Amino acid sequence: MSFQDTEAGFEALDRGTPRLSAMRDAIREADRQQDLKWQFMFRYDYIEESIFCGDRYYALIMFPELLELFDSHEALQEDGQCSHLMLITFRWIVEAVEEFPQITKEEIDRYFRLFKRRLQDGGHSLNIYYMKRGFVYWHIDRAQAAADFYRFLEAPLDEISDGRPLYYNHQVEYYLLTDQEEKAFRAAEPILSGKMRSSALPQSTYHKFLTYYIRKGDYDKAAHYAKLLEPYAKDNPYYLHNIGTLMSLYSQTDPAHGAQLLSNHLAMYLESKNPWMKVHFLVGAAHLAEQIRQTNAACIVRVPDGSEIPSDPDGMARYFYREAAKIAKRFDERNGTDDFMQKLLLLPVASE
Amino acid sequence: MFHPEELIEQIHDLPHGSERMSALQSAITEADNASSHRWRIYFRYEYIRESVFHDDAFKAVITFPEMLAIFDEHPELQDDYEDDIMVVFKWVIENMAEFHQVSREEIERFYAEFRRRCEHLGYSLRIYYHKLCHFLMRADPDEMPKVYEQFHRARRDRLSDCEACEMNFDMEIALALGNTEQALKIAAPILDGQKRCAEIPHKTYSTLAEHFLYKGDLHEAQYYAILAERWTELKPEFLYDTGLLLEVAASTDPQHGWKILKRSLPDFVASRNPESRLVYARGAYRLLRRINQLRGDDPEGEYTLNAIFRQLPVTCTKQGISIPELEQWFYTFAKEQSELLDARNGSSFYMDKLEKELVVDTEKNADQEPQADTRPHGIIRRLPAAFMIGFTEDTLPEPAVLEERLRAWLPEDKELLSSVVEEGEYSFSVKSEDSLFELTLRQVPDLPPIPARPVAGMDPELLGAIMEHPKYMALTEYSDAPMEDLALIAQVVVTLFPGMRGFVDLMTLHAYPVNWMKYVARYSAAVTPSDMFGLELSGDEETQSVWMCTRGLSCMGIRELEINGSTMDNYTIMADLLDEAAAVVTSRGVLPESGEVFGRCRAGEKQFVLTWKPSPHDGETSIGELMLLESEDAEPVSPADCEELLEAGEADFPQTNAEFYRRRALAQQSYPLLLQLMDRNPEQAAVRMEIRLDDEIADQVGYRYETLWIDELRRDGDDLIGKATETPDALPDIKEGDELRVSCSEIVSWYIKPVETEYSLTENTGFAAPEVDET
Repeated sequence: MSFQDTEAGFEALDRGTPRLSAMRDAIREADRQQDLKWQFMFRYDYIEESIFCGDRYYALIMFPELLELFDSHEALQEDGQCSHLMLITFRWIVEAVEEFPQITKEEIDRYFRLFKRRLQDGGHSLNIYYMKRGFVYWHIDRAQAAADFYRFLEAPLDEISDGRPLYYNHQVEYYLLTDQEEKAFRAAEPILSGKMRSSALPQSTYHKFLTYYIRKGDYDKAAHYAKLLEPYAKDNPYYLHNIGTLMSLYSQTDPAHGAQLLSNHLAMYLESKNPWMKVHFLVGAAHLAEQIRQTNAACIVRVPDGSEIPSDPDGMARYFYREAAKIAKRFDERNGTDDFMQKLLLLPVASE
Repeated sequence: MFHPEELIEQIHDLPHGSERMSALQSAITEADNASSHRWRIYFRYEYIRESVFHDDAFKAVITFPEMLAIFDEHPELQDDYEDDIMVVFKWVIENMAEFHQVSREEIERFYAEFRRRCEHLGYSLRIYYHKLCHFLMRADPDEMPKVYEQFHRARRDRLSDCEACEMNFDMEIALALGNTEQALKIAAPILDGQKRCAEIPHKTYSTLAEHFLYKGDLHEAQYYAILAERWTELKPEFLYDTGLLLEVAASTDPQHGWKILKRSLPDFVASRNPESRLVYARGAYRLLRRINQLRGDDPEGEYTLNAIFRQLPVTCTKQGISIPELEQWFYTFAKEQSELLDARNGSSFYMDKLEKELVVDTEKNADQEPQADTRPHGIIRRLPAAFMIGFTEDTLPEPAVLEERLRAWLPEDKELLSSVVEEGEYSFSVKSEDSLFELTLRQVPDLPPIPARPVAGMDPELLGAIMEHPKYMALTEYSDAPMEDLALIAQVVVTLFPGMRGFVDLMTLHAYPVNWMKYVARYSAAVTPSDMFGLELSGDEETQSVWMCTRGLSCMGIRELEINGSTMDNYTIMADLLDEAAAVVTSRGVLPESGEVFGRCRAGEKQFVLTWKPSPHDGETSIGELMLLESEDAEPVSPADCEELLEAGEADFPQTNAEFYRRRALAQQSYPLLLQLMDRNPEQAAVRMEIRLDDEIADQVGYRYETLWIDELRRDGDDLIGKATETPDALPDIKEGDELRVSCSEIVSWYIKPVETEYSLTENTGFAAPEVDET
């Protein structure tokens, strides 16, 4: 079977682990045959799969190999397709590095400097650079994030940028984070009206409004966006963090429904290797579990067999708080802020 | 406490220009006080950028050395700010040459330092050679070609100017070396719209305008000047280019130049950039000299009463400000600045330009027969728009009364810049946001009969009566938004002339009734493309031929279009085709070059595209002949010779969204009128509403909004309630006969049959409602 056929064969497999496994095999075979182009392409495919249908963990592990391969082979650098895909991969990775607190701030900065230089050398706009760095820096340095946001707004879009719908979506995020609700709605209009869509929209926009209204304590408005978001988010590991936000809301508005959501996604949480996904999930679970504990709500949370999660309300509430705080502190220590702990403490949680 | 994120938000809430500069200056002070070095660099970067791109670059030149010093003192910041420093450096070395206060030695020192840093940091020297060429063009033109060659040998990198700017630069060099054809070839992607950036094609058009002016080709100079003006919008940061436009106008259209001068003078006064001020003053001098020449010995017009010139250090008397004195002032200023810059550069570049005698329009045509227009531009100089305000009394309101009424009416968002009350004439200029509106109103006791066509329900007898009484004539020039201008004219005229009985557009020859003017004054979306042009037909009984031509496109800066060769039998088809073609170019505001496609139509089974070619009539320079093409590379054919069109008997045009959106805007603007009409218990009333579809259904049907007529309306507060007239496929929850509530923001069209009228009214014909006349 040719490598082309191998690649085509990935489509027939389930997304996530089955495809990743097949891709690993393909990489090994391409390496064995020293087929440079397919060594590159299969690694790219693997990273893409991990980014969009996994928890990005394997993408981060594979990326240095891909970069080394590209940088050491002029043939790949002169190949227009490979150059383009290298930048696309970089684009995903600079966003993903934030999700792993074991990656230091200095390493994050190094990745971004490298990404910026690659964009400039390729004659590309820095729109995507400022967008991604602003997003990452929100939890590290608000002022830098603000500076990057306005440079993002001014830099032109090009083929490496995330595209016009996400250009607006990013504006929504920034304006909501800075409490500029009116501006956020203006930016969101093309998305909420349906004029602009992408694979991530409108659900990403719904999530931003949901998060904002929870932070503001306006649960009615939050509930409107929760209703729109939930069909997209449930049962999808890519949206595990969204499930966390939904649980935070339901802790205040509908614990029974929240309990159902928690039950249905615990296995996904346990399997995930992405600390960022996990911490957001755990924050929501901590809020929900504490509410169930405090109100003695008749909510049943089904815990997967053999897991360490206690099934009694007290134990469960303390467990989720402890696990959330553990990861939140790691993020805060890496970032030099207390954003993650603040998010955990936004709503009542169990004490340790 | 120092909070840079708050400062950043405050700064970005401000408009570009002096307000933002001031906020950035404060931010710099705060960062300095906090000893926050990265923010000291950041805010200086933003300050310099604002100064270069939205101001006169003066503060950029002053601030840069501080920024460089901070950067050099803090090596820990160099990784993060090295790119920013070098970008700012390149801006500053380009702009510093515009300030004669910066010595030649200093300029050379900065260039040397820039080069050193480029080499040390591994940047290509391309940008260094680029900026050096720019300076040498003015200081040492003989050295420039060598440096230009080195520019092209150096590789592009992240510090290079964008591709559009480099292309513009290559064009400038080609022009400087005397190679016009090559220059236009280089600039083709810019002129075609493929390459753009913040200053391109603005600078490209003004450079070409200047080039052709100094070469003596006034037609091309004016063409590019028109485009430059549209793009730069005469903004303060383009003061240099505005100066070039004044120079072109001096040679081609002094009246228009006078308007530019009045509008842009405050920016000249506020600027501290010597080169920009010099070029502006040179343009103003040429313009005023030409105006004085045209005035000759006629004492009228020697003085201007316009208050805007009081900002200059010239004598102001009871008669006003002397235009010859203004001319002299600008010449003296331009000469002083030219000498200073030339002395600094060691050349005579600026004085040579100042002293060069340029061709003016009359001189060009003095001994020549009028030439047929062989240059195929679709855009032309705008002709003034003229209107007639008619009455059925012999006493006209006096100009002083008009002035009172205007001042009483002036809305908050508008500022009266100047007004002149003279015997039988009143003129004023009003500023709102970025636009300037000027109107001259002149009493006209007698006017020969005007063959105006009554439209919008104008009573022909009333029109006849109006022609027998004294009138007012109104003169103006449209901006880039002519339909909005017509709505504003309606507001002004309705206010100033409550006794008006009719209104005639003297270019389109449309005669409107008063209630149409009142309707348009209130609801600006009532102006349609068809209001902006008329059709003129002329037949020859002997040959049975009919010639037809649009009237009014030239007021919008677009060539008139004609059709030749139609006959008494087929002229109605031709008139429809010409009407639709004119509506297309009016909606877009532009007619492309001759031979380019600007529209599509279908006649019978065949598809055609619309284009045009210069009129075959000698001496005509503002008319194009409409042509059809079966495909884009086919031979054009006159519509009158197009067999398929003649057989079909009509042409269909593709529907566009523009008319839908206009009607929707008008339906919503005129909603209060609809509610008023509803209160009179009409015989029939219906609205067409727009309903957003669910995502799932939208994906299935391929569109997002469904429209539905609702009739049997009744009013409920500000809403209407009625019954669905059909069961729409895409809205399964709605059945015919279901009751629905509609609000203003949901309607896209309405119709109503008041009891008192013989006919129904829609948002387009709402002007016929008695309620409109009553206001």
